[in-house]
Amino acid sequence: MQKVQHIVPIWLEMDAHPRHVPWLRSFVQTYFKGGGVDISSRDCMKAQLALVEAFDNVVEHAYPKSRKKPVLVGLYLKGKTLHMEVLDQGRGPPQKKHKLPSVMSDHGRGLFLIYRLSSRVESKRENGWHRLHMRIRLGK
Amino acid sequence: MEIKPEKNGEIVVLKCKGSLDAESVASFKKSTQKMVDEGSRYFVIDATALNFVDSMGLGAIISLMRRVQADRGEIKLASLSPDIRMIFELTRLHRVFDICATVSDACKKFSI
Repeated sequence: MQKVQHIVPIWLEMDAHPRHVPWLRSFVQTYFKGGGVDISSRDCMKAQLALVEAFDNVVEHAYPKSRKKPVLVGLYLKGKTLHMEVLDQGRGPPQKKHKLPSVMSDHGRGLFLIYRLSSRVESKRENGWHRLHMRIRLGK
Repeated sequence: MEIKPEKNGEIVVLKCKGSLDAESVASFKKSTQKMVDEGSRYFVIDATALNFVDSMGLGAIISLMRRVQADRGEIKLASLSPDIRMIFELTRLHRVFDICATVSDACKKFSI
């Protein structure tokens, strides 16, 4: 990866439907390619996984009864840090829910992965929206 | 995601191609449940062409493991790419699953 890069923020609005997951993954890859940033497959996988987990959480928990409610997804690169934001109109994840569940549990790993993959995570509500802000240090 | 089951004696090799994620997890669960209901108890997940798995995909594999273990069956994973292996390591599931280098290695390790 080059030493300092900035790519302009891109914001997307979509409905909370799991059909968007494959598209979100390819969007992360396209975002870097379009910005001329050459990142490792490992970094790309980390970014894709964190974003997909955040989106999955919205689908499963913020809007469990509706696939039509809005989700905003933002990506921007500042230096070597990729910022990814996911906004929804739900209440946000419960505190202290980002610990690894028991190994045989078939759910509950999403938030753990988000916190494990990110160097910093902020979760807050403002103006009726919940905002999850993940920062991923690239090339680490 | 494409799942192509291949029978090798009592073992079912599930050739998984694409992504095991929130979008595809329902079809994975449905097709593997059908195989378990029909009596299959020994599975190898061939991840040669698997390029992504999220927490919902991991949950589906664990769910399959619990079902086959209840019938004294076994499940093994084979041919994980380094990036997919990283996801299992991050969630410490590499300690739970028998992860083999190749499908052939996995098939030899069943206690049938």
